[in-house]
Formats: sequence, structure tokens, C-alpha cells
Amino acid sequence: MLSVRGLRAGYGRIEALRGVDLEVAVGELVALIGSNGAGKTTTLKAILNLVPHSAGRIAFRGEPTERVPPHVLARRGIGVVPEGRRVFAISTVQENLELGGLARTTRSDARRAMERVFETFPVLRERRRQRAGSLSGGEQQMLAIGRALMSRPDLLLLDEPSMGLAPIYVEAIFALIARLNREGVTILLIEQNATLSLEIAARAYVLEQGCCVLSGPAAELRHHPQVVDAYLGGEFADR
Amino acid sequence: MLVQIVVSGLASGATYALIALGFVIIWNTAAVVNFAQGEFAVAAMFVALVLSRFGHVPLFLALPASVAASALLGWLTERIVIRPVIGRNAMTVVTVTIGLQIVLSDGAKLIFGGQPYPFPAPFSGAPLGFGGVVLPRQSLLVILAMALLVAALHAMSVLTPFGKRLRAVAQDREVAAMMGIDVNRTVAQGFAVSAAVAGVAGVLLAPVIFVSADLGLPLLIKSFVAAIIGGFGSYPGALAGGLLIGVIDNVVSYAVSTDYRDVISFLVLIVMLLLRPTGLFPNHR
Ligand SMILES: Nc1ncnc2c1ncn2[C@@H]1O[C@H](COP(=O)(O)OP(=O)(O)O)[C@@H](O)[C@H]1O
Ligand SMILES: [Mg+2]
Repeated sequence: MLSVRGLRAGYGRIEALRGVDLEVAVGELVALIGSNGAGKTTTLKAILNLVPHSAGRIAFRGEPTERVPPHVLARRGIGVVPEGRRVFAISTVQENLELGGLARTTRSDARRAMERVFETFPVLRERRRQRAGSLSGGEQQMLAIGRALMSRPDLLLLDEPSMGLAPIYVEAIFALIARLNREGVTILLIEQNATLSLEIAARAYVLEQGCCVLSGPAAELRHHPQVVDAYLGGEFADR
Repeated sequence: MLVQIVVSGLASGATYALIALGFVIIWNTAAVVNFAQGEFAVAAMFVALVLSRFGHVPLFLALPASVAASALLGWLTERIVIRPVIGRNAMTVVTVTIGLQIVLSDGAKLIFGGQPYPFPAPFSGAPLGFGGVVLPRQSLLVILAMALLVAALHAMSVLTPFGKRLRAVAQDREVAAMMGIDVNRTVAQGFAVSAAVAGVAGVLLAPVIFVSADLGLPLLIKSFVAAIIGGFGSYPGALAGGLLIGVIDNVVSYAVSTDYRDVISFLVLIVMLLLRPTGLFPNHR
């Protein structure tokens, strides 16, 4: 579904990615974990052509995405839940969802997709006339996910969906991501929360200072000493 | 008497309000302060003038054609002038729009010279009387047209996919792109709408003033002040600010002297910035 090879990208003279390789097969849930500043968000933006890359190849569904503008990638089936949620704060919940469905759906498709989002997140239905900016952090995250689902994406990219959320929401969001994947959505999950990511993902990549330093089945990475030390808080990890 | 002064003040205020509205549309969608906004209004005036006076095209065709022409000018502005510098630092972008303002107004001066041209009024006839108060038809037409246009723009913004795209881009360009919205195209269309609104203001204003090549800058200044008074970025604010400036202008010209009408807009601006620096409607879009 998605293939990234030798990706290098940066901001001016700063090199943020120094050769990233990753692969997401159809139907997979793959995690990309790494600490703050490792280059996770830059990887996502380079995949979407929101930041230019200086080297490497990216292909979506086998087609190179070299000169494909971000909005066209969205229309071809890449859905995004951006870091920090970034809901359209002064628009209502319903308008946010409509915007999510604008590019890829007809009016009746959009209505059905919205109905499904409301079934998944009943709280969004209750709040559909409220401004998105007035929602709590957890509700905004649900809205950001719902908005991305409105276009029925084939590949869903999530950038730190658990960031800044209360623990009950964190659990719920991870459970939901696992469920979406079971329902057939291919997912690349970017996270700092390695514990929960490795629980729901099939495979994972560990990114450090712009390089993929480790990769493999999530079950193996959970016990990898390097991962345990750096991301799972040493001895407490293997609960 | 006071009612008449206020109504004709509202009429000129309505044109400032529309130009300010266009100005705010561009600010909100592209984060560009467009100093050429007044020129979009002037362009429409000259197109209407040329078509009706020299081409003998009837006004009911010349007016929409001139509004379409300024929409085209706005669209071209985005494609040719703004897009290459979008995302650069704010000073670069502002300098570019100031440059465009100079090019357009000097261009108009080259073609039409510096002299004023009278413009035919679309609805001539005796002023209308309402219980002893006499109001010129053009003033009423201008106010009515502004109200209709504002209602139409509001409906467009809330109901149409284009309006929704525009508001998404205004809030977050990057996320708008992630949602499949063609940001460049939407911004270009936003420029076209904004310039068309300024064009409507231009053709509404044309019959009550003389059309000349140097009108763009004073119109820009009035609408700029209106937008700031209203709370920069606020649509109701731009409208209220424009109407307020128009009325104050007119009352002062009548009560004191026409010499002070430009000074007074700045005085109002300064007082506003001191008393209510966030503007009349700080949190409305
Ligand atoms: N807009 C930017 N301009 C300059 N440097 C940036 C920018 N965004 C990120 N960086 C730098 O690139 C590196 C990777 O950042 P990022 O991809 O955001 O990391 P992560 O998402 O893993 O926290 C960091 O060193 C960060 O400081
Ligand atoms: Mg990040």
C-alpha cells in the first residue's frame, strides 16, 4: 500500500530525515515510534508532499507520488489525523465532518459516512452543532479521526493520536484504532506511546534522529532490550 | 436633515464596507494584506465606463461585465503576483501588493489620464420622499445592494462547497490540503470573489463620484481603517466599520468642513485603537 525507501528530507539546512525506509502492506497496522524530534511528523509530511524530500522514493499503491500534490493524495485515498488534532476550531463539529468528506464523496455518500462516524462516536452527534474549538481534547481527537474517516480512506495516517489525552481517552483511542484496522483500514500509526502501539500493531519501526534504527514484528520489539530501555521505561515494561 | 446626512453617509459607508469585506476575505484565506484592493474597485469602474460611455453597451450588461472583469483581475492577481511569494515573510508579500497597487493605478493613469469622468446613474429620477425626508435613489440602491450582497456571501460561505472550502483554507491551509482541498485553486477563487465584491462597490460608487485613476488609494485607506475598526479578520466588523466611517465622514463634512473628512477617519481609528484595540467584533468571522 505504502512504500518509503531511503527518504531524506529537512528544513533548510537542518536534516530531519537521513534515510528512512518503511513499508505498509494492505490491511496492516504498522507503528512508527520514536521520541520527540526523531522525525516522525517530518516522515508523514514528506509522504504527503507537504515538505519536499531531497532523496528517496515514495510509492502509494505502487505508484510513485513524486509530483502528486497533497490534496490529490488525499483524493486517492490517504486519510490523515494530524499531530495536535488541528480541527477547524471555529467551524461546527458537523462542518468539520463535511469538510473531511468534501473531496471524495457525493452528498449521499457523505451523509452515510457521517452516520457511521456518529455511530462510532455518539458524543459527536450530540455536539454536532457546537464549535469544534469548544470540545474537550479527547472529543477533538475523536473529531479529527472522524473527519479523516469521512473520506473512507484506504490508508489512514495518524500522528500521535494519544498526545495530551486523559488516560481513559488514550485507551479508547487505541482500541478504536485496532478496531478500524480489523474493519479493513490499512493504518500507519505514529506514536510516542510505545507500550500501547506495540500492543495493537502487527509490525513497528523505531525512528531515532531521522533514521529507522529498528524494525520488526511488534511482539518481538516489545522485548527488544533497546526498545525496553528507551521507550518502555526499563524494568516496568514487561508487566 | 440629519436623517439624509446619515443615509448618504451609510451609502458611501456601504461601498467602504464592501471593499473592506473583500479585503478581509483575502486576509482570512491567504493571510495577505492586499494593498491593491481599492484598485479592484477602480478597475470595475473603468470597465463599466468604457463599455457604457464609449462602447454604448447598456448598463444592465456593462455592470455585470465590469464586476466579472474585476473578478478576473483578482484571480490573475493570485496566479501571477501572489502565488510566487505566498508563504514568504509578511513584509515581502505586503511589498508585492503595494507594488501591484502602484502598477495598477499608474497603469490606469497612463490609459485614462488623471482627469475625472462623469458616470451615468443607472436609476435616475427624482429623489424619493418618505414622510418629509428626501432620499436620493442611488443612496437607497447602494444600501439595498450591499445588504443583498452580504446576505448572498453569507449564504455562499455557509451553504456551498466552495464557501466551506474557503473557510477550511482560512483556518488551516495544511489540514485543508490533507482533506483533499486544492488550496491554491481555492485561494485564487477567494481572490476572484473578493475582487468581484470590490468591483460591485466600485460600480455602486461610480455614479455618485467622478471616476478617476487615483481613486484606488483613498478607497483602500477607508476600507483598511474600516477593517481595523471592525476587528481585523471579522466580516461583520468590516461591515460595521465601513458604515461607521461613512456616516462619521458625512456628518463631519456637513457639521464642520469637508476638509476634515480624511483626518476624521484616522481620528476614529486612533480612538478605537485606544479604547478597544481588538475592534468592534474581535471574535467573529
Ligand atoms: N518547521 C520546521 N523547521 C525547522 N525544523 C523543524 C521543523 N519541523 C521540525 N523540525 C525539526 O526536525 C526534526 C524532526 O522533527 P519532527 O519530525 O517534528 O519530529 P517528531 O514528530 O518525531 O517529534 C526536529 O529536530 C525538529 O526540530
Ligand atoms: Mg511530531
